[in-house]
Formats: sequence, C-alpha cells, structure tokens
Amino acid sequence: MMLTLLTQALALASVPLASGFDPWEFAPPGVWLIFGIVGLPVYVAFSGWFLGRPRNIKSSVLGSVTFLALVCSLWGGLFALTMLIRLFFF
Amino acid sequence: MSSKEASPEDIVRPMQSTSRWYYAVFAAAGIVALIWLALWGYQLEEGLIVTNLADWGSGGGVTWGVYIGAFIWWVGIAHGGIILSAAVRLFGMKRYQPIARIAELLTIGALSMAGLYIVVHTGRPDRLVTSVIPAYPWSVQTSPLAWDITVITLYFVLTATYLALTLRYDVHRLRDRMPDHLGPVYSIITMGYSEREDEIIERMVWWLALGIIVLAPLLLHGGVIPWLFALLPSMPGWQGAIQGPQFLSIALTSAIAGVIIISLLLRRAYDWDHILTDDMVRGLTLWLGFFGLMFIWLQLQQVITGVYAPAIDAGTVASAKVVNPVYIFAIVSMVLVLAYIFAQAVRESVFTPARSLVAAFLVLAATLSEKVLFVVEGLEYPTFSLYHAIPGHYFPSIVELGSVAGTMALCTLFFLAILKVVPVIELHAVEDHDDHGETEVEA
Amino acid sequence: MSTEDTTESTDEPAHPYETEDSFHPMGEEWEGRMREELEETDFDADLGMQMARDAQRLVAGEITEAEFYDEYHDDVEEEFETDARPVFDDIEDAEFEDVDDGSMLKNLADIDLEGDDASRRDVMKKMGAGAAFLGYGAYATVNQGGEDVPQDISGIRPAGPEEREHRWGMVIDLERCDGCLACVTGCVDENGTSTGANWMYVFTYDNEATEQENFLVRPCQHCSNAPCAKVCPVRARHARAEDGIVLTDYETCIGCRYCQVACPYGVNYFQWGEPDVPMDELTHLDKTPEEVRALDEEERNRQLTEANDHVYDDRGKWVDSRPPQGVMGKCTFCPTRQDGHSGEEKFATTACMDACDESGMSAIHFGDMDDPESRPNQYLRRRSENANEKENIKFDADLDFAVNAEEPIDVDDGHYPLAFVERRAGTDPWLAIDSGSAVVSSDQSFDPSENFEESRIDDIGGIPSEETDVLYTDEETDIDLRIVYDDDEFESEAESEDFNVALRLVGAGADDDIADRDVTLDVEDNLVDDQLVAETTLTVDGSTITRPDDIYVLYLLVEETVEGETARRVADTRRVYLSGDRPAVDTPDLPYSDSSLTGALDSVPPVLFTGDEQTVAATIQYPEFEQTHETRLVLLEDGSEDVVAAQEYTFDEQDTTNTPWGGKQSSFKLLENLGTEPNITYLGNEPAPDDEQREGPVAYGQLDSEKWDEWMNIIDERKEHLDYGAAANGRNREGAD
Repeated sequence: MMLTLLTQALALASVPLASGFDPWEFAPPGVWLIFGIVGLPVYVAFSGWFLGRPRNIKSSVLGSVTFLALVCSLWGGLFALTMLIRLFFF
Repeated sequence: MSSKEASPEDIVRPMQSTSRWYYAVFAAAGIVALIWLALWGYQLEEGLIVTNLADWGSGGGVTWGVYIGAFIWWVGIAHGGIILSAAVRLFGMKRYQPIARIAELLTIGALSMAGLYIVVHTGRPDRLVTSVIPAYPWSVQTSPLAWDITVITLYFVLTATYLALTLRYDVHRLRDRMPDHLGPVYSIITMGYSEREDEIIERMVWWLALGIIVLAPLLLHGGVIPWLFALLPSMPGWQGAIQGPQFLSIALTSAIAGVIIISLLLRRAYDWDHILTDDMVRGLTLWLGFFGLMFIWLQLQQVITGVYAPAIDAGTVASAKVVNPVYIFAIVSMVLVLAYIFAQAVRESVFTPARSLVAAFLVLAATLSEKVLFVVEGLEYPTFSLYHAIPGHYFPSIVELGSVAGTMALCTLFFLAILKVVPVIELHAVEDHDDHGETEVEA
Repeated sequence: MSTEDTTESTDEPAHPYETEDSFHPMGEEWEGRMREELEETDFDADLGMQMARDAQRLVAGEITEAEFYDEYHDDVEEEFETDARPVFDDIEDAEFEDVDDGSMLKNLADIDLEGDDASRRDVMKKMGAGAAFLGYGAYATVNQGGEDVPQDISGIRPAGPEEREHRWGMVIDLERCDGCLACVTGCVDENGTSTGANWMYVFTYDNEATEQENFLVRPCQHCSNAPCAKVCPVRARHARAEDGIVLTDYETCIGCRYCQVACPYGVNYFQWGEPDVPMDELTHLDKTPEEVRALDEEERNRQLTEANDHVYDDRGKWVDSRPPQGVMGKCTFCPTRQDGHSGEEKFATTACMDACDESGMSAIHFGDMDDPESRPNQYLRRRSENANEKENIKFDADLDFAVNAEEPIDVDDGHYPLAFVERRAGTDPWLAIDSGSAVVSSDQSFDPSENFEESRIDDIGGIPSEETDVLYTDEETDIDLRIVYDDDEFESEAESEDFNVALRLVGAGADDDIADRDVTLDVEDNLVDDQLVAETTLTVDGSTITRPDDIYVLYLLVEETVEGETARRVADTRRVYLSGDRPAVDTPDLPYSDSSLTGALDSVPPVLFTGDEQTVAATIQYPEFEQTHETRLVLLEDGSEDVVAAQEYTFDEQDTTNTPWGGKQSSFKLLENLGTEPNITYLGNEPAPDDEQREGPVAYGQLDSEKWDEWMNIIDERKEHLDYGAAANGRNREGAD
C-alpha cells in the first residue's frame, strides 16, 4: 500500500501543475477521506496519549485496549442482534 | 441561586432509592417500546412493504423516509455530548460541567438509537454484519454509507472510551455508596486504578475531547452524513456544499435541545436545582438560540438560491419546499423559539426553565420534521423528472411513526437503567475542593 | 523452455496427474483431442499444450507460479502480443487459497472437449489474447489504479478495453417504438418480476416543441461509471469486469436502497414484500450458491446450461431473475443469456429485444458496443448512412385534398392537366411537385361505377403508361390482365370458377364494351400464397372503336356471382386517351418550376365531377426544418390556372402515421452530463428537462404476463399496489399482499 502511494506520489510529481487532476487515479476518494481526513483526529488523540505530556504508558495502553474492546463489543453486539433476527425471521 | 451546596450525596441518590415515578416512567416507556418492537417484528416478517415507502420514479413513491430522517436526527442529538465535554475540557467552561456526563450518556443513547435505525431501515438486517465487514476494504474506498458506518463507530467508541476513563475517578471514590450487586461492573471500570493516574487520565480525555470535537461535528454530522446526499448528482434538493454546514447547524441545535430536556427532567426528578442550576439552563438556552439562528440563516441561503434564478430541477424542489406545510411548521417553530430566546436575552424575567423546556421540545419537533422532509423531498423531485409518477408521494405509516416513539422510549429506558448504575453527574462537578465551581461566571 | 519440446513419453510420472503417455489425467486420447482443439484456433498449439502440461505441474505444486510465469513470458508475449497474467506474489491482499473457483491454470488443463459444448467462444475465451488467459478469470478488476479484487468481492467498473470481453449495451430507436409494451411483457416473462417492478419501462411523453408523440424506452443504462455500484456499502451492486453488466448480488445485498437513491434514472425496484413469483417457479439449477461456486468454471457452465438455469451467472453468483424479499433488483441485461446458459442462439440477445423483434418493430438492438460489427453498431451505421443520402427529408406526410368542397370546378368538360404545387411562404412562387391529368365532367350520369360494385378482383396489370395511357385505334392492342383473388374471398367450394371479363370504354357520351373474354380460375393451379392468381390477355381491336380522339375511362368489368347474385362489377379503371394516330399526346408543359420536395399524386378519381366533393390523395416528404408549406391542386386550361383545391400543411400537424426516416439523425444518451457513461444510445428526440410523461397508447393496467400466472398484471402505479394491494389494480389475487 505504502509502496503504491509512493510510486503514485512520484508520478504526481512529474505531472505538470496546469493539467487536470483526477483524484480517483491515485486512490479512491474513500481512502483519502477515511484514512487521511477522518483518521486525523483519531491519530492525534492516540498520539497525544502516547507522545504528549504528562503521559503514562500503562494508562495509554489501558485507553487503547478500552477503545478496541468497545469496538468489538459494539460490532459483536450488532452481530448478535442480526443473528437473532436471522434466526427468527429469515 | 439556591443556597444548598452540591455534594456527592446528591449524585449517588438515584442509585440508592427508587421512587414511584421511576417505576411509572419505566412502565410507560417499556410499554411504548414493546409496542414498537412488535411493530418492528411485523415489519421483519412482512418486509418493508408495511411502511409507506415505495420506489421513486415510475413507482411513485420515495424509498427513504422517516427511518433515515430519524436516523439523522438522533445522530444530531448525540452531538450534545461532545459539545458539552469540549466546552468543559477544551474551552474551560466549567459552568457546564454538571451536565457534561449526562450529555455524554445522551450521546451513547442517541447513537445507539441511530444505529438501531440502520438495522430497522434495511431490507435484510440479518446480513448487516456478515455483508458489511468482508466488503469493507473495498466499500470504504467508494461508498459514503461505508464512511458513515466508520465515523459513527469511531464517534461511539471514542465517547464510550471517554466515559469509561472519566468514570474511574468517580466509581473509585463513591463505590461504598453504590449498589453492591453491581460490584463486578465497578471492578471492571476501575481495573488497575491508582490515584496517580488521575492527572494522566485528565490529560488523556482532553486529547479525546479534542479528537471528538473535530470528528463529530465537522466530519460526521457536518461531514459524512450530509455527504450521503450532497455527493449524488441527480437529486437537486440535496445538492450543494451548503449541506455540510446546514446539517451541522441542525445537529448543534438538536443537541442542545436534547441536553436541556434531559437536564430539566432529571433535575426535577432528583431535586438537582442547585447542581443543574437555572443559570446553567439559561446558558444552554442562549446557545440554543445561537445555533438556531445559524440554522435559520442557512435555510435562508438555501431558499434564496433555490427560488431566485434556479436551474429547472433545483427550482422545482425549492419552490415545493417553501410551500410545504411541514417546512413552514419547522421554520415557524424555530422562529418562535428564537423570539423567546431573544426576549429572554433582552429581559431576564422572560426566562423560565419551563419555557426553555417547551422551546427545546419544539426545536426537536422542528428538526425532526425538517430532516424527514429533506430526505423525502430530495427523492420526490429528482433531476430525471420525466415520469408522471414524479413527484412521488409519501406519508409515514404507523410502523414508521411508531419507531420514533419507540426509540424515544428505548432511550428513556436506557437512561433509567444507567441512573441505577453510575453517577450521571461528574464527581468533579460537586466536589468542594473543585475550585472551578459555580461562582465563576462564564459565557 | 522452448516450444519445440514435445510431450514426453518415457519419463516416470512426476505427479499424480501424469499418466503413462500423457500429462492429462484423462490420458492420451484426451490430450490428443486437446491438441486438435488448439490447432483449430489461430494460436500456437504447441505452446498451448506445453503450457497446459506445466499448468498441471503448477497445480500439483511442482513449480511455483513465478517460475511458470517466467518460463512462458516471452512465448506468451510473442503469441498474444501481451502477457497480462498476474503474478500472484505481488497481490498482498488477495487470499489465493480462499478463491474457491481456483485458478484458470487448472482450467487450461481441463478444457472441456465434449463435442458440442466446446464452442469456439469458450475455447477462444481461454485461448484468447490478453488477460483472459491463465488465472485472470479468477479475479475481477476494479479499474481503480489497477488493483485486483478477489472474486467474492466485486468491482464497480468494467475492465479496460484491452481486458474485457464485451461491453454490453443497446441502441434503441425511439422512432420505431410504438408503445406496444411487448418488451415490458417479455422482460416480466423472462425474469418473474413482481407487478409494477418495471425493469423495462416504456412511456409516452410530451415534448413542447412538437406535438409529436414521443416514446421513451427505459431499461437500466448499465453505466460504465455507475453511481449505484460506487455507493453500495457491501459491494452487492457491482459491474462485471468481463462485460460491464451492472448486477446485484442477491446473497449479499442488505436492502439499504442506497443504489436506488444514487441512480439518476430511477431504474431500481426494491422487493418490498413477498415476490409475486415464488422461487420454485423460476427455472434454476437445484444447488445452493456455495455449491455452484465450488464447481470449476467448465462444470458450472455445463450444469447451468443443462438446467436452463436462470438465476446464476457464470461466476456462480445469484444475480438473475427477480430478487428475494428485502433486496434490490433491476434490469440485468439477461446475464444467463450472455453466459450461454440459455443456449448459444440466445447469446448476445435480451428478452426485451427478442420480444420487440417478434412484434415486428425491432426498436431495441442489444449487443457488444466494443464490436463495430455488432447489431447495435451496425444499426447505428445504417441509420446514419440513410441520413447522409437523403439530407433534407424527415417525414412522409399524407395529404387529402377536398376538391369541389368550397367552390365547384368551373371549366368545360374535358381533359386537363392537374398540377400538385407548393410554396414555402406567401410570396414565394409556386413549385410543382407532381402533375397528372383529370377528366372533368358535369354529367353525373357519366360515372358508370354507379352501376357497378367493386369486384373482388384485386389487381389489373396492363396498359403501359406514363402520365396518360394511350389506346391506339389503328391497331390491335393486347392488354395483359393479372387477376388476383384473396383466397378467403373465394366463396364457392368448386374447384374452379368461370367468369367473364370485359373492357368497357366510357366517356363523352360513349359507353360500350370493347373487348371481353371468359376466364376460368382453377383453384388448385392458381393458388399462390393464399391468393388465386390468373393471367390472361384481352385483345382490343382498335378498328371496332368509332369514338373520337379524347380522354376516356377504361373499365375492367367482371361478371361474377357473389352471395347468389350475378352481376357485372368493376375490377379496375384506367384513364386512356383514344388516339387514331400517333404521336401520342403530351401533357402540356406546366407553368411551374420543379419543387425540390419529393412527392406524388397518389390517387386522382377517374372523373372529377363539377359540383360533387371528391378527394385527391397525395404524399409529400417534408424537411424537418421547414415549418409551413402551402400546397395546392391546380387545373390548367390553356395556360391559365384554375385552383381546384388548396391545403396548407404545417410541420406541427404531423402525426404518427408519418414515417420519419433518414434526415439529420438525432442520437443521444440520457443525462450524459452526469458522467455516468450510460451504455444505451437512443435515436430520436431527446427529452427536455421539463418534459412530462402523459397518458398515451401504452397500455399499462391492461396487459398481463401470461407466463407466470394469469393475474400478473403489468402496471406502472406500483406505490398504489404496494399500499393497497392487488385490489387497487382491480385484480383480486388470493393470498397476495
């Protein structure tokens, strides 16, 4: 993935500025959006945890584990609900 | 200003005793919720034909209606949490600290209802997880719905993490006054806790608040949600870069209204006038006015551009919107609320908590109507309007209207349950040694 | 390894697949047949055989894919001018083991040589140039930065022009459509869609510029840049890489309806409730989707074809026929036909196109838009060729002139030139489109046709003619008659019928027979295509005619028995000029220049009676840009003009009896500016942004699909049906919604 981005970035560098730019050519919009823009606040928060001051590795890990556990609980709960629906209705 | 002093006793009271009113509200909410669940079961059995939705185009209907409108509305209400938390932690508005956790809990409850609406609105909800997850690496590249799912998940989890972290301090200190039978739950919350971590945790939740204040308003309700609509080239009612700011204004307005309602209801139930003070409610009311004004102003932008010299398709939907009774109701309601808020800003005596409560309910009714109308009218007036069945027709069915009542009941039940488990007001807000107390005058 | 290596026969078998004399598990005979098959193609059979052998080794794990790739890279490049086989090691995300279907590498070694099934298309598919070869078939391209996507997740765009096999699309000639809804019915028959889910939809709309009736035929546009595929959150809606068909995976779809929201054209129809046609009424292979995908491609296609399956496509995805409850559906371009499961003869056809052809309109032309010789492209070419030839002509118009309607003809009895003239505007000179002649008579009794009914005889051949037929009285003239009866008019059971035919000369006070004969019509001998045809000759002896030179009307009279009554009846008439000497009389020069318009006087009554209203029919071909023409019929006498009839004809008044043809061909695509790249090209008038559908001859509500059950009413008010059930459409279906 990174390799692709790098090669594309190099390709971009060789394109004259005045020509048309097709954002889809390098990566689809969703990739830019989710991993670039939407991800930023999340990256910043986690960076702040691990790199900001005052910090404590144990607490940062606790927070991260909590975060992951909650993602799994959310989707796990949703999965359970949908499986129940499948059981009763489909 | 009450002469009573806030104390930790106040905030554990809900967990220690249960009044008749609690049972009554629980029962009522429970019945409404059960009725709706039965209706939903009927829908799962018969299919979405039980709604009044239909195919747009030759079909003569609209394919998204109350379910999606209410989904957007609940996500808007959910923004109350981060607004209040950001106000407290990032901008130092300690005046609102007593209400902050309640607002965050509202976020969790409202986002859960929004997520439930996704399950309700799909034709094959049993496939939601099994179809979405495997396809995600590809769907996230191009599908605004996949982006929506991503950001809602992030908002939910970040908020829940925030709550989990901030509860540690409270639960540790108040544990002896909280119900024994929930011991295991409290143990999990305070796992590995030591008092040295307090300062670190404070800093960590500050970072979280910073992340969420960018994520939620700017990228969720002012981002991926309006983009679900605005990125499509063929529904002129949804077009334009203004949808981002427009949706944000709705979110902020609904969010504050939700917080006002919850705080006034809880205050009444638990005699918390001295904690959730009139002063605080006045402040919230002013903010409601500010966000409401933004909403009206952005509607003005849309109306002007839609009727002055529009393209044919844009003009058709704009002129339909302007004369639609639902739209007129929404705008007039907002104007009435703004009038009240302006009046009480000019003359303090105009303000009463009761009036603010009514204003808040009116705002929620207005924002729900406007959002449902937005969704529906976009589909009623597409660019490709050749079909004689366009504009389509739609009026929500009992099943759909039931879902609005049902989700409100479920959210109520959620709050009733959570009141019994954790303190809904931060300990920091009522501690004597907290030197950012009520005496400081804030915006 | 070079291609000169021949198959080895003496080495010990290196892997389980290698038998004594052949690397193919089925033995030498199969290998021989494979070689024969390869030799039929245009490509190097030796190379193919060698690669097949090594493909077996690869499957057995003897060599790695990188080795296999490298070995043949040069040879493949030389043979096919490109080597687009993916090197699997590069693809990080793809889990090769999870791809049930396995690699095309296996398929190369497993070519189905069962006689009829190994169609050239199938063989070429495997042997053909480019990426269809060797393993590429397991992957569907996404066309986003060249990323490959595994088979269980689908792409959203067709593959590039070099890689894809087809680009299915349509050319629809709206000018040929007449709103019969055969295509809509045909689609419902083929797919079992529910009432009101009009995957194919035809409707009439108003266009303010003309009062012309316009039709729009609206299937799914199968866009090459489909917004519906982009927005699907589970990649159920996708475009097939091999041919660009946009399909919905009914197993994956969660029913969020975002594709329906995103589609600009409104082609999606959700299955809101229980489908009208139960699954067991659809013809399909009796296997679950997983089982179908577990088969290798050859076997899968074979089984699907054998079962005449109509729900799976060649990837084993459930995408065809109506969707189940809670899932989205739309026009599919009939993938089971394109994949050969309905038989070779249905390849490159769709149900709607077949129905339109059968109903005689042939307005729909489906085919490979990439192929210049496909049916739609040929049709486009033919239409534009016609357009170039006849530049300024757009419509045939029928004109009926009412002669003597307002003012009676005011000339002496006689024969006069008749001119059909036109001019564009009030001050332009009149121009002649056609000319003829008319006999004017004030004597009503002159019309002998009063005394005669029309015979059953249909046709008379005979006197050669320019503007005026001439009958010379100084000689004998043979007049050939071709007598034609429609078989169903022939009443008698007899094997033959006798009747008498006579020629009667009528005019200027004269009225007598000039020739006659008896004719026998033999039923058996003369039956040609449901018609009884007899040819005979009447001989007119000019010396027996004692009339002066003048215009007369020649009547062919037939004495025949109809319903028990015997009488003389008129079979045909012809205007003749009787002349005792030559040269023939010419029609005097008309005082008009020729018009550039093409047209003709179609039928002028044999005699124009003064005072009696009669109709003269004419046709004219109008250029599309001309708004108004005045047209006239003019009777000329000694150079002066006497207008006998005038009619103004405007472009706006054209109706559908006019046949538009040629002209500046208008072709368009719907909503092209949205960038969806639709694959349907329309010929005809493009709808304007504010056009609206109106009630038209299209008969929704009155048509049924006969195939599924007699209640399958074809309607277009689906919302009413969804809200109130079948009762809303006046139909009562037991147990339905």
